[in-house]
Amino acid sequence: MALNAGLACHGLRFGWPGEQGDDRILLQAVTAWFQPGRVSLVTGATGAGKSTLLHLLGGLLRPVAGEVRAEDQPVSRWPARHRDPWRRRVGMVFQHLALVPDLSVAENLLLPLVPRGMKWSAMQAAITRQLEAVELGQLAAKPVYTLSGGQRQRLAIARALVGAPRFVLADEPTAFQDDRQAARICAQMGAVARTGVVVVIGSHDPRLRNASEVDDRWHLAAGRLTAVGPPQAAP
Amino acid sequence: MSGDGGPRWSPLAVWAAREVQREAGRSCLLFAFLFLLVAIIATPMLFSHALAVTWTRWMEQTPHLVVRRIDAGGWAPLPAEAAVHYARKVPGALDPTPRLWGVATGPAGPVTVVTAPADLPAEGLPGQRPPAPGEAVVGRAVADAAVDNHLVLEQMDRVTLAIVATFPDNSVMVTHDLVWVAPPDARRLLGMLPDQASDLAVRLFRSESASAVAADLAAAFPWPVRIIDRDTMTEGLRRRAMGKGVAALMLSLPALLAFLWVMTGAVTGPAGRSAYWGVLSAMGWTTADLVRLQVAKALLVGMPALAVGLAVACGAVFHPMAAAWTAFLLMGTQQLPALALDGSGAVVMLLQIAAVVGLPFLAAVFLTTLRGVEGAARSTMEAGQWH
Amino acid sequence: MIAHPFTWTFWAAVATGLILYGAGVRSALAVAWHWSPGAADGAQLRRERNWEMACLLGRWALAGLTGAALLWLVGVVAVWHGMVPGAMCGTGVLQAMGGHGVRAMAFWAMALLALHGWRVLDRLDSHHPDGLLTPTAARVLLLAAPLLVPAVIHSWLALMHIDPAAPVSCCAAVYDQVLRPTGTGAMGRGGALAAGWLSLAGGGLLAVLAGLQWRCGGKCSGALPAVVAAGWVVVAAPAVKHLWSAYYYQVLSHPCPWCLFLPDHYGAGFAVYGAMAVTLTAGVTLWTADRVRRRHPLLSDAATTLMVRAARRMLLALLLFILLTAGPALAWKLRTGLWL
Ligand SMILES: Nc1ncnc2c1ncn2[C@@H]1O[C@H](COP(=O)(O)OP(=O)(O)O)[C@@H](O)[C@H]1O
Ligand SMILES: [Mg+2]
Repeated sequence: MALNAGLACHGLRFGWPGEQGDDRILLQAVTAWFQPGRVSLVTGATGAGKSTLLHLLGGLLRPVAGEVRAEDQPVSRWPARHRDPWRRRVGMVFQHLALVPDLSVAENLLLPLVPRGMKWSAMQAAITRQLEAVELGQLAAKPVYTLSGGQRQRLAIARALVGAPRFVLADEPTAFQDDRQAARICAQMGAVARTGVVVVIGSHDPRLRNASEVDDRWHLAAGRLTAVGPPQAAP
Repeated sequence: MSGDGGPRWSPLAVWAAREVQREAGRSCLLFAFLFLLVAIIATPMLFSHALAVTWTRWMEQTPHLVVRRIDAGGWAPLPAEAAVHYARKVPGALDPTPRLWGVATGPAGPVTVVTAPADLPAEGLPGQRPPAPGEAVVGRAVADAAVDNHLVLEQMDRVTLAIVATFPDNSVMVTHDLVWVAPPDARRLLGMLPDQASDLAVRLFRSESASAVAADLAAAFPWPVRIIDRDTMTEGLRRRAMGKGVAALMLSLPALLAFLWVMTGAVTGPAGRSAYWGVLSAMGWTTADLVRLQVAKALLVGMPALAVGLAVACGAVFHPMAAAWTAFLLMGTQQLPALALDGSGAVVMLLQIAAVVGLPFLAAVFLTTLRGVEGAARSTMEAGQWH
Repeated sequence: MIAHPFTWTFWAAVATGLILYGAGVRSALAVAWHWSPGAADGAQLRRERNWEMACLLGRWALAGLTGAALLWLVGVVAVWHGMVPGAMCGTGVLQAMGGHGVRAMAFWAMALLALHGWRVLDRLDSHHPDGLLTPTAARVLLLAAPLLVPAVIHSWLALMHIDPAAPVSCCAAVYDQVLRPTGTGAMGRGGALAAGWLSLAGGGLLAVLAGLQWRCGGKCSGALPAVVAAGWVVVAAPAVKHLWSAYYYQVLSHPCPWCLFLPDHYGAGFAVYGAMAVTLTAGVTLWTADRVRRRHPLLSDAATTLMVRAARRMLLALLLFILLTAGPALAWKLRTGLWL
């Protein structure tokens, strides 16, 4: 496998603007390589910065230093008019889901597809496929606010996957799920990764830590990301 | 990356329609506001245009020059044969024709008394037999005021006439206060001798020569005369067609457009949408995509509003009943009852009005969207608020 | 004057374009002087966002202002003469505008050319995320401001200068030039013929250059056709006025460029002068893209593609020009056996 494939970060440094104006450094010198075809899990205590890292990887935040390279392109340095279209290749599951509550389930899945220049039939097929995959096929026409928390989270996963992304970044994707659904989501992520996609999951859920589908394990603590389990070589 | 072409318009347009429906309240507000604004702007503009066109049409049938004799008391009758004789000597003045007409007091105010069909617009006389002495053909306003089909006119003398016909409705704009009588009745009424005329109408070969011929004519008569040319009369009518209401509108147009700008910004702006736009941009919508979406929404609401507004304006101007009200509102006069206005050139006018309103509208939508996207982007990039 | 609805349409377009351009300029100001590519601080982030806005605004402003300039042209050649007594075509309107009209048009043309140059840079810039051309493009966008402002001011003065009560003599102005051939703007018979031949020869040469550029896939120099195009326009404009237009009017000694826009002559002026404008803008594209290609090898492919398209556009425009100028002359010669 080419060393430059997948999603890599070099010396990533990031801090949220502090209250007194001084930046509190949350991530310092985070270096990692998330390979295509493998499921990577980032664990860490709440507040460790997992969500922040995923947003940095997905180009929603810009690092203060260091860079994110996607397929050897320095996407984190790109200005908005290049980064925004690149984001079509990223499927993001937000911790807070970020669904549009008054739209129906199917319409929420349509949102990422509208600007892509696809045909209607292709869009419909993709939506139906993803809804079946997360077991929401019956609820396609329901407005999102009528769904349960677990159903909404599965919908968020479907929305991340509906555009056939090259990079899937899932933030706590099993937080509201029962054991059966958690296992199914693990299997789904594994299946997606097998198609050559980079899958990065940020979670503190022990069910995920022990899942067999997870290939690489990372731990985030004190602003540093370390590989755990099978050792990882950085590019 | 940005070279891979924009989205297909059709999904975007369908999504825009869905959003219009989703924000039904805002959409209705925008529609009503745009529609009203277009109607308010278009009605006076269309009205004055149609009035000017109509006047010009009528004026084409009037003589190029009219010569009137004046003396210390103002207007004086002129000796018909002598006047024709003097006018013939002026090169370029064709067909000098003495006319017999004047103003008399009728039952409901002043009326215009005419005697020759040549003084009347062609529309007024579809096969109408000239009135015999003691008879009159009258305009609508005069007919309405008459009692028992009899008309009493007073000026130098008092004359009672039997109304034998009225002018047709489509000519009412120029004939409403007109009374067509036989020449002997007119002379008696206006106190003129058999050889006298009210004025002398002169035709020209080229209307451009009006000022030159007028000067020669003035010199050719042994008594002081006043000569009015058609262009001066038309210009006066054009001024009248502008009306006070129209002039006020013209002056307030920039303010109306500024109001349009502010209102469009408020209704289509990012208020309550910035989180939603942040989600969209996180899913790969570019700023240009969001602008396309907003413009498509604006067009979906704006085009029908524009069309309805223009249609209402057309109705208000070209429907005879409504036109009377429009005339009253805009000109402050009921002198033009049951207008039948000329619609030629109205389409070009409508296109211009559409551009005057549509361009600032689209620009306002565009600019507010950009502002909103900038705000949303800042919130996604720098604050990361997702809920 | 001010009350004519067409005037309102024109001002609506101008105001719209100016507001958008002004907003774009505001965003571009910081970019032009403080651009620091690769920096990750909040200020640079804001500048990048601002630049994206400025590009969108500039594109819309270019569309709006081009529309306004076209409306101005249509107003001068086809609408406003109805309100100037004695005016038959654009000559009379410009006469009534008293010098401001011509100046306004000159500034409009220059401003639009500058904006067109910006658009070429912007398109090339969008091909690479590093924003190699961003500061240059921002400065060119700002450069249009000192041209746009006088264009708008002179348009305003020109329209205010029109007095519906003061007649002009449109054709007298044209015939004066013929009767007093020493006056400015006049051109002897020989001069007209020379300009005619030069316009044809230059057009042919330019067409060959553009064709070569097209055939060789944009590999040839872009500066040469650009310079020739600029020179050619200078010759072609008087040639149309003094020679080619006569075959439309079918009379000699009516060197009026504006009558050519009238419906009586099928509005041929729009096509003839339009072809010249397209040639000139294509020249600007060729020149700009060629310079960019030399300086930034990363943008070479994009620049070459743009140049090929510009060359094709230029070739088509020139063919149209030759068809519309030499064509009627040939037809006249064939019909009557004489040249005018
Ligand atoms: N929008 C924000 N503004 C300021 N601070 C934030 C923001 N989002 C997160 N943080 C801070 O960043 C730290 C890490 O948050 P997060 O990445 O969500 O952690 P995790 O996902 O590991 O629980 C937290 O201490 C939180 O206070
Ligand atoms: Mg988190």
